[in-house]
Amino acid sequence: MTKLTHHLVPLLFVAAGLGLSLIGLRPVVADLLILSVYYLLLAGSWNLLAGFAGQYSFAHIGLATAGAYGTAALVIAGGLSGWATLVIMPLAVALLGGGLGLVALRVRGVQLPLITFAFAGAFAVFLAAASDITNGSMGLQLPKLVPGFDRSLYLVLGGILAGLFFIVQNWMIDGKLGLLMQAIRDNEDIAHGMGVGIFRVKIAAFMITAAIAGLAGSFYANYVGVLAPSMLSMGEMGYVVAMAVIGGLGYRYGPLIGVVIIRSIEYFVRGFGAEYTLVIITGIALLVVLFFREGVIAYVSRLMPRQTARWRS
Amino acid sequence: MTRIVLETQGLRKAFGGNQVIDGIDFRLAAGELVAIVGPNGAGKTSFLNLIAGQFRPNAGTIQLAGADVTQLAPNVPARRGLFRSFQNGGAFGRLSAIQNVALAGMVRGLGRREAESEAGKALARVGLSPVADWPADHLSGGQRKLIDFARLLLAKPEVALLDEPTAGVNPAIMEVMRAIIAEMRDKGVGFAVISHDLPWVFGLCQRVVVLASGRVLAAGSPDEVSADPAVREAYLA
Ligand SMILES: Nc1ncnc2c1ncn2[C@@H]1O[C@H](COP(=O)(O)OP(=O)(O)O)[C@@H](O)[C@H]1O
Ligand SMILES: [Mg+2]
Repeated sequence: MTKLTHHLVPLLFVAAGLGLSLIGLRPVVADLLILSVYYLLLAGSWNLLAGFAGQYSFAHIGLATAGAYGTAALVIAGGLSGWATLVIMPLAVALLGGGLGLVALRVRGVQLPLITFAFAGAFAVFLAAASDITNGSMGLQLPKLVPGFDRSLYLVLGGILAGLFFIVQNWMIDGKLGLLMQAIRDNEDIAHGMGVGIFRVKIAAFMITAAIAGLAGSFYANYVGVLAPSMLSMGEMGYVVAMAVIGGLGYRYGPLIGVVIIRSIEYFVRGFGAEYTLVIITGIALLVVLFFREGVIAYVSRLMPRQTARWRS
Repeated sequence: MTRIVLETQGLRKAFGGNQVIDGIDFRLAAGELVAIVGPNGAGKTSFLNLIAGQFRPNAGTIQLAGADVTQLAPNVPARRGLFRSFQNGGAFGRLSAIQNVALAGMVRGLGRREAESEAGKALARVGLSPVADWPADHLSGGQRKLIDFARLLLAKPEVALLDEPTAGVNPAIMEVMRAIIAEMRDKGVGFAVISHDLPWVFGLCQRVVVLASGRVLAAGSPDEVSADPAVREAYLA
Protein backbone atom coordinates (compact mmCIF):
# COMPACT_ATOMS: atom_id res chain seq x y z
CA MET A 1 0.00 0.00 0.00
CA THR A 2 1.22 3.44 -0.74
CA LYS A 3 1.77 6.28 1.67
CA LEU A 4 -1.26 8.00 0.15
CA THR A 5 -3.56 5.12 1.11
CA HIS A 6 -2.23 5.27 4.62
CA HIS A 7 -3.08 8.95 4.79
CA LEU A 8 -6.55 8.41 3.39
CA VAL A 9 -7.50 5.88 6.06
CA PRO A 10 -7.88 8.47 8.86
CA LEU A 11 -10.13 10.55 6.62
CA LEU A 12 -12.14 7.47 5.83
CA PHE A 13 -12.80 6.84 9.51
CA VAL A 14 -13.83 10.41 10.18
CA ALA A 15 -16.15 10.31 7.18
CA ALA A 16 -17.56 6.94 8.25
CA GLY A 17 -18.25 8.27 11.74
CA LEU A 18 -20.06 11.27 10.32
CA GLY A 19 -21.97 9.23 7.78
CA LEU A 20 -23.07 6.56 10.26
CA SER A 21 -24.20 9.19 12.72
CA LEU A 22 -26.58 10.54 10.13
CA ILE A 23 -28.28 7.36 8.96
CA GLY A 24 -29.83 6.40 12.29
CA LEU A 25 -28.27 3.02 13.03
CA ARG A 26 -30.08 0.59 15.29
CA PRO A 27 -28.80 1.13 18.88
CA VAL A 28 -27.36 -2.38 19.12
CA VAL A 29 -25.27 -1.78 15.98
CA ALA A 30 -24.27 1.72 17.02
CA ASP A 31 -23.16 0.45 20.44
CA LEU A 32 -21.18 -2.35 18.80
CA LEU A 33 -19.39 0.09 16.52
CA ILE A 34 -18.68 2.65 19.23
CA LEU A 35 -17.21 0.06 21.57
CA SER A 36 -15.24 -1.32 18.64
CA VAL A 37 -13.36 1.97 18.57
CA TYR A 38 -12.34 1.31 22.17
CA TYR A 39 -10.98 -2.08 21.10
CA LEU A 40 -9.36 -0.71 17.98
CA LEU A 41 -7.46 1.86 20.02
CA LEU A 42 -6.32 -0.85 22.42
CA ALA A 43 -5.50 -3.58 19.91
CA GLY A 44 -3.90 -1.03 17.59
CA SER A 45 -1.67 0.48 20.22
CA TRP A 46 -0.80 -2.93 21.65
CA ASN A 47 0.22 -3.93 18.12
CA LEU A 48 2.54 -0.93 17.95
CA LEU A 49 4.12 -1.97 21.22
CA ALA A 50 4.27 -5.75 20.73
CA GLY A 51 4.11 -6.13 16.95
CA PHE A 52 6.39 -3.24 16.02
CA ALA A 53 8.58 -2.68 19.06
CA GLY A 54 8.60 -6.31 20.20
CA GLN A 55 7.63 -5.42 23.77
CA TYR A 56 5.03 -7.80 25.13
CA SER A 57 3.22 -5.90 27.83
CA PHE A 58 0.14 -7.08 29.68
CA ALA A 59 -0.52 -3.71 31.25
CA HIS A 60 -2.58 -2.37 28.40
CA ILE A 61 -6.06 -3.00 29.77
CA GLY A 62 -4.75 -1.86 33.13
CA LEU A 63 -3.64 1.42 31.58
CA ALA A 64 -7.00 1.83 29.85
CA THR A 65 -8.75 1.17 33.15
CA ALA A 66 -6.54 3.77 34.80
CA GLY A 67 -7.64 6.16 32.05
CA ALA A 68 -11.28 5.32 32.71
CA TYR A 69 -11.09 5.67 36.49
CA GLY A 70 -8.98 8.80 36.15
CA THR A 71 -11.72 10.19 33.95
CA ALA A 72 -14.31 9.34 36.59
CA ALA A 73 -12.20 10.99 39.28
CA LEU A 74 -11.74 14.16 37.27
CA VAL A 75 -15.42 14.37 36.37
CA ILE A 76 -17.00 13.28 39.65
CA ALA A 77 -14.54 14.61 42.21
CA GLY A 78 -12.83 17.29 40.15
CA GLY A 79 -15.92 18.63 38.42
CA LEU A 80 -14.18 18.71 35.05
CA SER A 81 -16.04 18.19 31.80
CA GLY A 82 -15.72 14.85 30.05
CA TRP A 83 -14.20 16.61 27.05
CA ALA A 84 -11.27 17.81 29.11
CA THR A 85 -10.59 14.28 30.33
CA LEU A 86 -10.18 13.11 26.75
CA VAL A 87 -7.14 15.38 26.58
CA ILE A 88 -5.86 15.04 30.14
CA MET A 89 -6.07 11.28 30.59
CA PRO A 90 -3.88 10.31 27.60
CA LEU A 91 -1.16 12.56 29.02
CA ALA A 92 -1.60 11.25 32.56
CA VAL A 93 -1.62 7.63 31.45
CA ALA A 94 1.46 8.26 29.28
CA LEU A 95 3.25 9.32 32.47
CA LEU A 96 1.94 6.28 34.31
CA GLY A 97 3.09 4.08 31.44
CA GLY A 98 6.46 5.83 31.46
CA GLY A 99 6.85 5.10 35.16
CA LEU A 100 5.91 1.49 34.62
CA GLY A 101 8.34 1.32 31.70
CA LEU A 102 11.18 2.70 33.83
CA VAL A 103 10.76 -0.32 36.07
CA ALA A 104 9.78 -2.96 33.55
CA LEU A 105 11.98 -2.12 30.56
CA ARG A 106 15.35 -1.98 32.31
CA VAL A 107 16.01 -5.64 31.86
CA ARG A 108 15.16 -7.77 28.90
CA GLY A 109 13.29 -11.05 28.77
CA VAL A 110 10.43 -12.10 31.02
CA GLN A 111 10.81 -8.96 33.12
CA LEU A 112 8.36 -6.93 31.04
CA PRO A 113 5.52 -9.49 30.80
CA LEU A 114 5.93 -10.31 34.50
CA ILE A 115 5.98 -6.77 35.82
CA THR A 116 3.15 -5.58 33.59
CA PHE A 117 1.11 -8.64 34.53
CA ALA A 118 1.74 -7.92 38.20
CA PHE A 119 0.76 -4.28 37.70
CA ALA A 120 -2.53 -5.24 36.07
CA GLY A 121 -3.24 -7.85 38.74
CA ALA A 122 -2.45 -5.51 41.62
CA PHE A 123 -4.52 -2.74 40.09
CA ALA A 124 -7.49 -5.11 39.66
CA VAL A 125 -7.20 -6.20 43.29
CA PHE A 126 -7.02 -2.57 44.36
CA LEU A 127 -10.15 -1.65 42.40
CA ALA A 128 -12.06 -4.54 43.93
CA ALA A 129 -10.83 -3.81 47.45
CA ALA A 130 -11.24 -0.03 47.39
CA SER A 131 -14.99 -0.32 47.15
CA ASP A 132 -15.51 2.92 49.07
CA ILE A 133 -13.89 4.72 46.12
CA THR A 134 -14.93 2.52 43.22
CA ASN A 135 -18.34 1.62 44.61
CA GLY A 136 -17.42 -2.05 44.15
CA SER A 137 -19.29 -4.08 41.58
CA MET A 138 -22.13 -1.55 41.67
CA GLY A 139 -19.84 0.69 39.72
CA LEU A 140 -19.29 4.40 39.35
CA GLN A 141 -21.75 6.54 37.44
CA LEU A 142 -20.52 9.23 35.07
CA PRO A 143 -22.53 11.80 33.17
CA LYS A 144 -22.51 11.67 29.38
CA LEU A 145 -20.47 14.13 27.33
CA VAL A 146 -23.66 16.02 26.55
CA PRO A 147 -26.96 15.78 28.40
CA GLY A 148 -29.22 13.01 27.15
CA PHE A 149 -27.82 9.98 25.37
CA ASP A 150 -27.11 10.69 21.76
CA ARG A 151 -25.29 7.80 20.10
CA SER A 152 -24.61 9.76 16.94
CA LEU A 153 -22.29 12.06 18.88
CA TYR A 154 -20.25 9.03 19.93
CA LEU A 155 -20.19 7.66 16.39
CA VAL A 156 -18.66 10.92 15.20
CA LEU A 157 -16.25 11.05 18.12
CA GLY A 158 -15.35 7.39 17.59
CA GLY A 159 -14.62 8.05 13.92
CA ILE A 160 -12.39 10.96 14.87
CA LEU A 161 -10.51 8.99 17.52
CA ALA A 162 -9.99 6.05 15.17
CA GLY A 163 -8.75 8.49 12.54
CA LEU A 164 -6.46 10.07 15.11
CA PHE A 165 -5.09 6.66 15.97
CA PHE A 166 -4.18 6.00 12.35
CA ILE A 167 -2.52 9.41 12.07
CA VAL A 168 -0.38 8.69 15.14
CA GLN A 169 0.36 5.21 13.80
CA ASN A 170 1.45 6.56 10.42
CA TRP A 171 3.63 9.12 12.12
CA MET A 172 5.27 6.43 14.21
CA ILE A 173 5.71 3.69 11.63
CA ASP A 174 6.83 5.96 8.81
CA GLY A 175 9.07 8.03 11.05
CA LYS A 176 12.35 7.51 12.78
CA LEU A 177 10.86 6.04 15.94
CA GLY A 178 9.01 3.30 14.06
CA LEU A 179 12.14 2.09 12.31
CA LEU A 180 14.12 2.10 15.54
CA MET A 181 11.31 0.17 17.26
CA GLN A 182 11.28 -2.46 14.54
CA ALA A 183 15.05 -2.81 14.64
CA ILE A 184 14.82 -3.49 18.38
CA ARG A 185 12.05 -5.98 17.78
CA ASP A 186 14.09 -7.87 15.20
CA ASN A 187 17.40 -7.86 17.04
CA GLU A 188 18.02 -5.81 20.11
CA ASP A 189 21.73 -6.59 20.39
CA ILE A 190 22.47 -5.51 16.87
CA ALA A 191 20.40 -2.35 17.21
CA HIS A 192 22.30 -1.53 20.38
CA GLY A 193 25.60 -2.20 18.65
CA MET A 194 24.63 0.15 15.82
CA GLY A 195 24.15 2.97 18.31
CA VAL A 196 20.42 2.84 18.98
CA GLY A 197 19.53 4.02 22.49
CA ILE A 198 17.39 0.97 23.26
CA PHE A 199 15.94 2.13 26.54
CA ARG A 200 14.86 5.52 25.24
CA VAL A 201 13.14 4.02 22.21
CA LYS A 202 11.30 1.48 24.35
CA ILE A 203 10.20 4.15 26.82
CA ALA A 204 8.97 6.35 23.98
CA ALA A 205 6.99 3.46 22.48
CA PHE A 206 5.64 2.59 25.90
CA MET A 207 4.51 6.13 26.65
CA ILE A 208 2.89 6.76 23.29
CA THR A 209 0.99 3.49 23.33
CA ALA A 210 0.03 4.09 26.98
CA ALA A 211 -1.39 7.47 25.94
CA ILE A 212 -3.55 5.73 23.34
CA ALA A 213 -4.71 3.21 25.97
CA GLY A 214 -5.52 6.13 28.28
CA LEU A 215 -7.51 7.76 25.52
CA ALA A 216 -9.37 4.50 24.94
CA GLY A 217 -10.19 4.27 28.64
CA SER A 218 -11.37 7.84 28.82
CA PHE A 219 -13.55 7.39 25.75
CA TYR A 220 -14.98 4.23 27.30
CA ALA A 221 -15.79 5.98 30.58
CA ASN A 222 -17.38 8.95 28.84
CA TYR A 223 -19.45 6.67 26.64
CA VAL A 224 -20.46 3.72 28.80
CA GLY A 225 -21.03 5.91 31.83
CA VAL A 226 -20.75 3.07 34.33
CA LEU A 227 -17.38 1.84 35.52
CA ALA A 228 -16.97 -1.46 37.32
CA PRO A 229 -13.73 -3.16 38.36
CA SER A 230 -14.56 -5.98 35.93
CA MET A 231 -13.34 -3.66 33.15
CA LEU A 232 -9.86 -4.81 34.12
CA SER A 233 -9.51 -8.53 33.66
CA MET A 234 -7.05 -10.82 31.99
CA GLY A 235 -9.93 -12.01 29.83
CA GLU A 236 -10.23 -8.49 28.40
CA MET A 237 -6.47 -8.37 27.88
CA GLY A 238 -6.62 -11.68 26.07
CA TYR A 239 -9.40 -10.31 23.93
CA VAL A 240 -7.27 -7.34 22.84
CA VAL A 241 -4.27 -9.57 22.16
CA ALA A 242 -6.51 -11.92 20.14
CA MET A 243 -7.68 -9.04 17.95
CA ALA A 244 -4.09 -7.98 17.19
CA VAL A 245 -2.92 -11.54 16.61
CA ILE A 246 -5.84 -12.66 14.44
CA GLY A 247 -5.42 -9.73 12.08
CA GLY A 248 -1.65 -9.98 12.09
CA LEU A 249 0.84 -8.76 14.63
CA GLY A 250 3.28 -6.26 13.18
CA TYR A 251 0.97 -5.27 10.34
CA ARG A 252 -0.40 -1.77 10.12
CA TYR A 253 -3.98 -2.88 9.58
CA GLY A 254 -3.74 -6.19 11.45
CA PRO A 255 -5.67 -5.00 14.52
CA LEU A 256 -8.33 -3.36 12.36
CA ILE A 257 -8.95 -6.68 10.59
CA GLY A 258 -8.91 -8.48 13.94
CA VAL A 259 -11.39 -6.07 15.48
CA VAL A 260 -13.71 -6.39 12.50
CA ILE A 261 -13.55 -10.19 12.57
CA ILE A 262 -14.00 -10.59 16.31
CA ARG A 263 -16.64 -7.92 16.74
CA SER A 264 -18.63 -9.35 13.82
CA ILE A 265 -18.51 -12.80 15.33
CA GLU A 266 -19.56 -11.33 18.65
CA TYR A 267 -22.48 -9.66 16.95
CA PHE A 268 -23.69 -12.87 15.36
CA VAL A 269 -23.29 -15.05 18.42
CA ARG A 270 -24.55 -12.45 20.90
CA GLY A 271 -27.69 -14.50 21.57
CA PHE A 272 -25.62 -17.33 23.10
CA GLY A 273 -24.44 -15.37 26.11
CA ALA A 274 -21.13 -13.91 27.13
CA GLU A 275 -19.43 -17.12 28.26
CA TYR A 276 -19.99 -18.80 24.88
CA THR A 277 -18.81 -15.73 23.02
CA LEU A 278 -15.50 -15.92 24.82
CA VAL A 279 -15.16 -19.65 24.11
CA ILE A 280 -15.94 -19.16 20.43
CA ILE A 281 -13.50 -16.28 20.09
CA THR A 282 -10.76 -18.14 21.93
CA GLY A 283 -11.39 -21.06 19.60
CA ILE A 284 -11.06 -18.87 16.54
CA ALA A 285 -7.92 -17.26 17.90
CA LEU A 286 -6.42 -20.71 18.38
CA LEU A 287 -7.38 -21.73 14.85
CA VAL A 288 -5.76 -18.60 13.45
CA VAL A 289 -2.59 -19.26 15.42
CA LEU A 290 -2.58 -22.86 14.18
CA PHE A 291 -3.39 -22.28 10.53
CA PHE A 292 -2.57 -18.69 9.69
CA ARG A 293 0.29 -18.35 12.17
CA GLU A 294 1.14 -14.73 11.50
CA GLY A 295 -2.47 -13.69 11.16
CA VAL A 296 -4.94 -13.21 8.37
CA ILE A 297 -3.02 -10.45 6.61
CA ALA A 298 0.18 -12.48 6.47
CA TYR A 299 -1.76 -15.44 5.11
CA VAL A 300 -3.41 -13.46 2.34
CA SER A 301 -0.15 -11.75 1.45
CA ARG A 302 1.48 -15.15 1.04
CA LEU A 303 -1.28 -16.28 -1.32
CA MET A 304 -0.80 -13.16 -3.43
CA PRO A 305 2.77 -12.08 -2.80
CA ARG A 306 3.03 -9.68 -5.70
CA GLN A 307 -0.19 -7.77 -5.15
CA THR A 308 0.46 -7.45 -1.45
CA ALA A 309 4.21 -6.89 -1.37
CA ARG A 310 3.82 -3.60 0.43
CA TRP A 311 1.33 -4.67 3.05
CA ARG A 312 3.99 -5.34 5.59
CA SER A 313 4.55 -1.69 6.22
CA MET B 1 52.87 10.77 13.29
CA THR B 2 49.78 8.84 12.51
CA ARG B 3 46.82 9.30 14.80
CA ILE B 4 45.86 6.30 16.93
CA VAL B 5 42.12 5.77 16.64
CA LEU B 6 41.81 2.64 18.72
CA GLU B 7 43.93 1.30 21.52
CA THR B 8 43.46 -1.50 24.03
CA GLN B 9 45.74 -2.17 26.97
CA GLY B 10 45.83 -5.30 29.07
CA LEU B 11 42.36 -6.33 27.94
CA ARG B 12 41.09 -9.42 29.75
CA LYS B 13 37.83 -11.31 29.77
CA ALA B 14 36.91 -14.60 31.38
CA PHE B 15 33.70 -16.59 31.34
CA GLY B 16 33.78 -18.68 34.50
CA GLY B 17 37.17 -20.34 34.43
CA ASN B 18 37.59 -19.84 30.68
CA GLN B 19 40.06 -16.99 30.07
CA VAL B 20 38.77 -15.98 26.65
CA ILE B 21 40.84 -12.81 26.26
CA ASP B 22 44.08 -12.92 28.16
CA GLY B 23 45.75 -9.52 28.10
CA ILE B 24 45.61 -7.98 24.64
CA ASP B 25 47.45 -4.77 23.78
CA PHE B 26 46.36 -3.48 20.42
CA ARG B 27 46.75 -0.25 18.48
CA LEU B 28 45.14 0.90 15.29
CA ALA B 29 46.04 4.07 13.42
CA ALA B 30 43.83 6.14 11.17
CA GLY B 31 43.97 4.75 7.66
CA GLU B 32 45.50 1.50 8.82
CA LEU B 33 44.09 -1.95 8.20
CA VAL B 34 44.98 -4.71 10.60
CA ALA B 35 44.03 -8.28 9.85
CA ILE B 36 43.05 -10.36 12.85
CA VAL B 37 43.54 -14.04 12.21
CA GLY B 38 43.69 -17.14 14.31
CA PRO B 39 42.12 -20.54 14.74
CA ASN B 40 38.47 -20.98 15.69
CA GLY B 41 37.91 -20.25 19.34
CA ALA B 42 41.00 -18.05 19.53
CA GLY B 43 38.96 -15.15 20.86
CA LYS B 44 38.74 -12.98 17.74
CA THR B 45 35.01 -12.33 17.99
CA SER B 46 35.26 -11.89 21.75
CA PHE B 47 37.94 -9.27 21.20
CA LEU B 48 35.60 -7.27 18.96
CA ASN B 49 32.79 -7.76 21.47
CA LEU B 50 34.96 -6.20 24.15
CA ILE B 51 35.91 -3.21 22.03
CA ALA B 52 32.36 -2.56 20.85
CA GLY B 53 30.85 -2.96 24.33
CA GLN B 54 28.96 -6.22 23.83
CA PHE B 55 31.21 -7.71 26.54
CA ARG B 56 32.45 -5.84 29.60
CA PRO B 57 36.15 -6.46 30.20
CA ASN B 58 37.38 -7.84 33.53
CA ALA B 59 40.53 -5.77 33.21
CA GLY B 60 42.22 -3.38 30.83
CA THR B 61 41.25 -0.22 29.01
CA ILE B 62 39.86 0.71 25.62
CA GLN B 63 40.47 4.09 24.02
CA LEU B 64 38.46 5.15 20.99
CA ALA B 65 39.77 8.23 19.21
CA GLY B 66 41.56 9.23 22.40
CA ALA B 67 38.54 8.89 24.71
CA ASP B 68 38.06 6.08 27.18
CA VAL B 69 35.13 3.80 26.31
CA THR B 70 35.92 0.93 28.67
CA GLN B 71 32.79 -0.49 30.32
CA LEU B 72 30.39 1.61 28.24
CA ALA B 73 27.24 0.19 26.66
CA PRO B 74 27.59 -0.63 22.94
CA ASN B 75 25.54 2.28 21.67
CA VAL B 76 28.08 4.74 23.07
CA PRO B 77 31.17 3.70 21.09
CA ALA B 78 28.90 3.29 18.06
CA ARG B 79 27.87 6.91 18.34
CA ARG B 80 31.48 7.95 18.73
CA GLY B 81 32.52 6.56 15.40
CA LEU B 82 32.88 2.83 15.90
CA PHE B 83 31.34 0.48 13.37
CA ARG B 84 31.23 -3.25 13.80
CA SER B 85 29.79 -6.05 11.76
CA PHE B 86 28.69 -9.35 13.25
CA GLN B 87 29.96 -12.75 12.28
CA ASN B 88 26.44 -14.12 11.92
CA GLY B 89 25.15 -11.09 10.09
CA GLY B 90 23.52 -8.02 11.49
CA ALA B 91 20.34 -7.73 9.47
CA PHE B 92 16.92 -7.02 10.92
CA GLY B 93 14.84 -9.78 9.38
CA ARG B 94 11.49 -8.10 8.83
CA LEU B 95 12.91 -4.77 7.72
CA SER B 96 13.66 -4.19 4.07
CA ALA B 97 17.23 -3.97 2.84
CA ILE B 98 16.94 -0.22 2.44
CA GLN B 99 15.54 0.22 5.95
CA ASN B 100 18.30 -1.98 7.33
CA VAL B 101 20.88 0.29 5.79
CA ALA B 102 19.08 3.56 6.56
CA LEU B 103 19.31 2.82 10.29
CA ALA B 104 23.06 3.28 10.09
CA GLY B 105 22.50 6.83 8.88
CA MET B 106 19.75 7.55 11.36
CA VAL B 107 21.89 6.76 14.39
CA ARG B 108 24.32 9.31 12.96
CA GLY B 109 21.55 11.90 13.14
CA LEU B 110 20.06 11.80 9.65
CA GLY B 111 16.29 12.05 9.26
CA ARG B 112 14.57 8.97 7.96
CA ARG B 113 13.98 10.31 4.47
CA GLU B 114 17.55 11.46 4.02
CA ALA B 115 18.87 8.22 5.47
CA GLU B 116 16.75 6.16 3.08
CA SER B 117 17.91 8.14 0.11
CA GLU B 118 21.56 7.65 1.12
CA ALA B 119 20.81 4.00 1.79
CA GLY B 120 19.52 3.68 -1.76
CA LYS B 121 22.82 4.93 -3.12
CA ALA B 122 24.82 2.65 -0.84
CA LEU B 123 22.74 -0.35 -1.92
CA ALA B 124 23.41 0.56 -5.55
CA ARG B 125 27.11 0.64 -4.78
CA VAL B 126 27.05 -2.92 -3.40
CA GLY B 127 24.73 -4.16 -6.15
CA LEU B 128 21.62 -4.68 -4.04
CA SER B 129 19.31 -2.16 -5.72
CA PRO B 130 17.08 -4.88 -7.17
CA VAL B 131 16.32 -6.23 -3.69
CA ALA B 132 16.18 -2.90 -1.87
CA ASP B 133 12.56 -3.43 -0.82
CA TRP B 134 12.88 -7.07 0.14
CA PRO B 135 12.75 -8.02 3.79
CA ALA B 136 16.22 -9.02 4.90
CA ASP B 137 15.14 -12.51 5.86
CA HIS B 138 14.41 -13.16 2.17
CA LEU B 139 18.00 -12.34 1.19
CA SER B 140 20.88 -14.77 0.78
CA GLY B 141 23.73 -14.92 3.26
CA GLY B 142 26.03 -13.08 0.87
CA GLN B 143 23.44 -10.35 0.27
CA ARG B 144 23.04 -9.89 4.01
CA LYS B 145 26.78 -9.47 4.34
CA LEU B 146 26.61 -6.77 1.69
CA ILE B 147 24.02 -4.98 3.80
CA ASP B 148 26.77 -4.60 6.39
CA PHE B 149 28.92 -2.93 3.77
CA ALA B 150 26.17 -0.58 2.68
CA ARG B 151 25.77 0.31 6.35
CA LEU B 152 29.48 0.85 6.62
CA LEU B 153 29.22 3.41 3.82
CA LEU B 154 26.42 5.25 5.62
CA ALA B 155 27.91 5.03 9.08
CA LYS B 156 31.04 6.96 8.02
CA PRO B 157 32.97 5.61 11.03
CA GLU B 158 36.46 6.38 12.28
CA VAL B 159 37.04 2.76 13.18
CA ALA B 160 35.49 -0.29 11.56
CA LEU B 161 35.63 -3.79 13.01
CA LEU B 162 34.57 -6.48 10.57
CA ASP B 163 33.98 -10.05 11.74
CA GLU B 164 34.58 -12.55 8.94
CA PRO B 165 32.93 -10.49 6.20
CA THR B 166 34.09 -12.90 3.51
CA ALA B 167 32.92 -16.15 5.09
CA GLY B 168 30.77 -17.99 2.58
CA VAL B 169 30.64 -15.25 -0.06
CA ASN B 170 31.59 -15.57 -3.70
CA PRO B 171 34.64 -13.92 -5.33
CA ALA B 172 32.60 -11.18 -7.00
CA ILE B 173 31.21 -10.07 -3.66
CA MET B 174 34.66 -10.31 -2.08
CA GLU B 175 35.89 -7.90 -4.71
CA VAL B 176 33.08 -5.42 -3.95
CA MET B 177 34.02 -5.63 -0.29
CA ARG B 178 37.70 -5.18 -1.03
CA ALA B 179 37.05 -2.06 -3.06
CA ILE B 180 34.91 -0.44 -0.36
CA ILE B 181 37.37 -1.27 2.40
CA ALA B 182 40.34 0.00 0.39
CA GLU B 183 38.57 3.23 -0.47
CA MET B 184 37.52 3.95 3.10
CA ARG B 185 40.90 2.95 4.50
CA ASP B 186 42.58 5.37 2.11
CA LYS B 187 40.25 8.09 3.39
CA GLY B 188 41.55 7.50 6.90
CA VAL B 189 39.21 4.93 8.43
CA GLY B 190 41.01 2.46 10.70
CA PHE B 191 40.03 -1.16 10.05
CA ALA B 192 40.37 -4.35 12.04
CA VAL B 193 39.22 -7.21 9.85
CA ILE B 194 38.84 -10.81 10.97
CA SER B 195 39.16 -13.24 8.12
CA HIS B 196 40.13 -16.80 7.39
CA ASP B 197 40.69 -15.86 3.79
CA LEU B 198 44.35 -15.04 4.14
CA PRO B 199 45.16 -14.09 0.51
CA TRP B 200 42.22 -11.69 0.47
CA VAL B 201 42.93 -10.00 3.77
CA PHE B 202 46.72 -10.02 3.37
CA GLY B 203 46.22 -8.16 0.12
CA LEU B 204 44.51 -5.36 2.03
CA CYS B 205 46.30 -5.09 5.35
CA GLN B 206 49.46 -3.43 6.52
CA ARG B 207 49.68 -5.52 9.64
CA VAL B 208 48.54 -8.90 10.88
CA VAL B 209 47.73 -9.83 14.47
CA VAL B 210 47.54 -13.54 15.14
CA LEU B 211 45.41 -14.51 18.12
CA ALA B 212 45.46 -17.87 19.84
CA SER B 213 43.89 -18.75 23.18
CA GLY B 214 43.04 -15.13 23.83
CA ARG B 215 46.60 -13.84 23.39
CA VAL B 216 48.57 -12.19 20.64
CA LEU B 217 50.63 -15.04 19.31
CA ALA B 218 52.38 -13.00 16.65
CA ALA B 219 52.13 -9.63 14.98
CA GLY B 220 53.82 -8.09 12.02
CA SER B 221 53.64 -7.78 8.28
CA PRO B 222 51.85 -10.51 6.34
CA ASP B 223 55.22 -11.94 5.26
CA GLU B 224 56.59 -11.96 8.78
CA VAL B 225 53.68 -13.77 10.35
CA SER B 226 53.40 -16.23 7.47
CA ALA B 227 56.96 -17.26 8.13
CA ASP B 228 56.55 -17.51 11.90
CA PRO B 229 56.83 -21.14 13.02
CA ALA B 230 54.64 -20.54 16.07
CA VAL B 231 51.86 -19.32 13.81
CA ARG B 232 52.11 -22.36 11.56
CA GLU B 233 51.95 -24.59 14.58
CA ALA B 234 48.90 -22.83 16.07
CA TYR B 235 47.03 -23.13 12.81
CA LEU B 236 47.85 -26.78 12.43
CA ALA B 237 47.16 -27.63 16.08
N1 LIG C 1 29.10 -15.26 25.51
C1 LIG C 1 30.02 -16.21 25.82
N2 LIG C 1 29.92 -16.91 26.96
C2 LIG C 1 30.82 -17.86 27.26
N3 LIG C 1 31.87 -18.16 26.50
C3 LIG C 1 32.03 -17.49 25.36
C4 LIG C 1 31.11 -16.48 24.95
N4 LIG C 1 31.52 -15.99 23.77
C5 LIG C 1 32.63 -16.66 23.44
N5 LIG C 1 32.95 -17.57 24.39
C6 LIG C 1 34.11 -18.47 24.38
O1 LIG C 1 35.23 -17.70 24.05
C7 LIG C 1 36.13 -18.45 23.26
C8 LIG C 1 36.50 -17.66 22.04
O2 LIG C 1 35.36 -17.56 21.19
P1 LIG C 1 35.31 -16.54 19.98
O3 LIG C 1 35.70 -15.22 20.47
O4 LIG C 1 33.99 -16.66 19.35
O5 LIG C 1 36.43 -17.12 19.04
P2 LIG C 1 36.73 -16.86 17.49
O6 LIG C 1 35.88 -15.73 17.03
O7 LIG C 1 38.19 -16.58 17.43
O8 LIG C 1 36.39 -18.15 16.79
C9 LIG C 1 35.48 -19.76 22.96
O9 LIG C 1 35.99 -20.73 23.85
C10 LIG C 1 34.02 -19.51 23.28
O10 LIG C 1 33.40 -20.67 23.74
MG1 LIG D 1 34.43 -15.59 15.60
